[in-house]
Amino acid sequence: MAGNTNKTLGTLRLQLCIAVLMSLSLFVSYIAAEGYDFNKLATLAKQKYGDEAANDFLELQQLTITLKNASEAEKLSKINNFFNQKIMFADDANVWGQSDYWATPLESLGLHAGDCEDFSIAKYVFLKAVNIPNDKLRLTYVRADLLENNRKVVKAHMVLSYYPTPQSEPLILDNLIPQISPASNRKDLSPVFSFNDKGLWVGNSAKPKSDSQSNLSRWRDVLTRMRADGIE
Amino acid sequence: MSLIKQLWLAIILILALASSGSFVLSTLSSKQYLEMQLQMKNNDNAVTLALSMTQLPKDPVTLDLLLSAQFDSGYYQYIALLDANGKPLSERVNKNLKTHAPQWFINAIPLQVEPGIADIQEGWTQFGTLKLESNTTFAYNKLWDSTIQIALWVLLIGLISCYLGGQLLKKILKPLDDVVDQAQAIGESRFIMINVPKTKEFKSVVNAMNTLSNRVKKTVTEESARLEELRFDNNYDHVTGLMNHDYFVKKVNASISHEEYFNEGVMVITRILNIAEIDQKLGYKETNQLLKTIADALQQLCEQNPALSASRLSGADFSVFSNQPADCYSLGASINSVFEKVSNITGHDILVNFLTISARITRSDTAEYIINSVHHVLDDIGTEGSNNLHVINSGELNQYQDHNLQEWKNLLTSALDNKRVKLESYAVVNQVGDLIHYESPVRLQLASDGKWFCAGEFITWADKLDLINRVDELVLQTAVNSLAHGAMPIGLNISASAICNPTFIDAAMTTIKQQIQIADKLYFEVPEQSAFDHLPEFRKFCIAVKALGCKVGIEHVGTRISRLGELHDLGLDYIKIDASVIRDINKNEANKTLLRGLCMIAHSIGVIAIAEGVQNNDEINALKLLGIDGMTGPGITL
Repeated sequence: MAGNTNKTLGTLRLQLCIAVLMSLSLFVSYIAAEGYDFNKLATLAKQKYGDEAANDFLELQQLTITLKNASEAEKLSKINNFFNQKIMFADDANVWGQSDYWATPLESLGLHAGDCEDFSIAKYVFLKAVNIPNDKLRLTYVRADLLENNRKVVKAHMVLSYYPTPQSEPLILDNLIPQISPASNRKDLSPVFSFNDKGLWVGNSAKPKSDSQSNLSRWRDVLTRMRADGIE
Repeated sequence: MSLIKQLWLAIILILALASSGSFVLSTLSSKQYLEMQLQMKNNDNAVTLALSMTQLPKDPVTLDLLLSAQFDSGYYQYIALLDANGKPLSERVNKNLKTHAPQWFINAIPLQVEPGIADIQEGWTQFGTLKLESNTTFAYNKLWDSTIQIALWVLLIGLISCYLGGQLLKKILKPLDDVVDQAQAIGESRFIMINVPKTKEFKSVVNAMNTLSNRVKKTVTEESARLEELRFDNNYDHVTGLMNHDYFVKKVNASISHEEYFNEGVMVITRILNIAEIDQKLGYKETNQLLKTIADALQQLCEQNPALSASRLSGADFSVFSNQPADCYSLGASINSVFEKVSNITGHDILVNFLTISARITRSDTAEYIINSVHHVLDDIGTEGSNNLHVINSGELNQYQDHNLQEWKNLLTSALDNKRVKLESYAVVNQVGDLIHYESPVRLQLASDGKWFCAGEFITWADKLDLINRVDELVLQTAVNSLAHGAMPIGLNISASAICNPTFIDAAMTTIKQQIQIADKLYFEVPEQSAFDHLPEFRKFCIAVKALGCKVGIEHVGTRISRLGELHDLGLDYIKIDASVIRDINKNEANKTLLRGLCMIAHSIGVIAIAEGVQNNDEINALKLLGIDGMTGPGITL
């Protein structure tokens, strides 16, 4: 990581030089925070959403510290429970006024509201924070068979899958059913596609290669915004 | 290095920096853009392919086919399907990667693009990972082509900018040339004025220099006018404005003693016999008026012929002197007619009775002697034969007077053709007695092995025969040759016709340029009268020879002092003050004042003042006290 930082600073310096030389445009420079900056998160949460949100982040920080040396199963269940309790399910349309908005954990926790992606993203991010390897985690698009008003409906849904080994059956972290259960127990879900942030951040660079905000995918967009909040 | 060159270099440097900077930046931004596009393509294609594979049955053939289809139909460098443990299941590598961009370019500007990676799932379990890299050769081709194109454009625009910049610079700095010229001219004591340029900085410089030039001009003009007044008071008759007796005598003697130019001359003296009677009848005022009329007519005559000068010797005696050979009869007659005209228009019942005597003057004569002799003759004749012309000594004709024109032409041409020429050397020394230059009048040997003739003896004929320029050219050639052989500095007299003749000036320039190293030992001097009569030509002559490094001076300065101000912008090196002013300077307080003033004017325009015709130690000592810078004459030896 230290090497990465040096390279980052080198690139940054080059860009600053170029910026000075050209005197053309402002370069949006990201100060890439190393790891998880809970102080920043708490400060931002306090500014934007008030003391309660700030306290939640301090609580989360406390949780991550206590989980540092816990078993993976414990990490999964604590983090899963934390977000399932703190965040109420709500449609993006109600919260954000748009049909599909991927909120950052700061936003979700700040508003105490989010939909399935927001749950999955927050869990994914903070499981990584307690040292669950990225390779074991997948955000998975699933087709969910739900009962609404006693009628069977099919909905697009997202869960977080945990793979203890590459070949094994995953454990599913979901907001619909708060308990973690193996995938085979979730007959209501059928997987469509899964991904994590592997390959999105270009290997040697801790920040996106392109600075063009308009070309971001939704996933990358939320990752970028998270970074600004202090979540690596 | 000149300012324009330095500025031009600066422009080129700035242009080179700016264009190479923009060149590098544009290449870098193209590179960044291409990298971004390739990265997106990698990511998107990997995800798309992984998405399709996730949906399909996972039999190896189908997956392999799908991989092939993607690989073969698109621009890929590498596509691999890895199992969950990272072991390759199927791989495609494009080995035929060719780009026309040179290797050094690729090394210098590597496109850093990460492979696109996406996961494939079989139900809930992970099936594998897809890794995909796009073919970057087309990107390198594009980058190389656009780099070349930009380089060419930058070069073209750079060259155009250099050219335009140079032109612009020339235009901006054009006034500077004039400013520099003026500064140099002032450095050389040529106090010229130039038009004020529009550029603010140049404007103040030029204004300052113009003010300086103007002040010098004003000082010189005012001072010379004051001196002229002084000179007039001392040397001229107040009633008629003609020279008084003393000054006239000095002037004639100076002419006679100037053996280079004087061969023989004529003195005409006219006496109004009944001046007392006229005075009684007309009264003081009208008599003066009559005398003034006579004087004006004589003055007019003198203006028409530069060889003549007129004087009122005493109350009733007028005199006209010609320093060139002339016919005693005709000159006498023309003077006589002046008086005749006046006597007729008096308008009173009294006639002016007068008597004219015309006498030839040779080099052995003095003014006093001639005037005395003529007075004796006048006294002898008395009032008889009034209004008559008497010629004395007319029988003794110059020994060469009987040569006819053709004979002179043969003699002169032969002397010139055979270069029978030599230069005399009369030292001109400075205050401490060191040589300034040798004044070098010409001698021609008309007949081979015959007598050497001085200028005064043949110059009139050479002038008549249009050979004067050839004489001047030969003299210059001789002077340049002897200087090239190590002679001391030489001062040459240049005639009025020479400075008015562009052909001569061109020839002279060519001659001097062939031995340019001696140019600063060559002193040209022009008589005061010629310089003022042909001022525009003299100015051109000055600029031409001074550009080569030669020195220019004016000789016989004395009668046109009031015009000295006009010389402030010529860059003259010296003036030689006429012997008539110098003669007996130790005894003449008025001339001392005049000379002191002349030296002051000369010094104020950076010119040195040299006294001509210095005869003895008394004069030398007096001159030294007056601030004269140099002396020449019979009393001066090195």
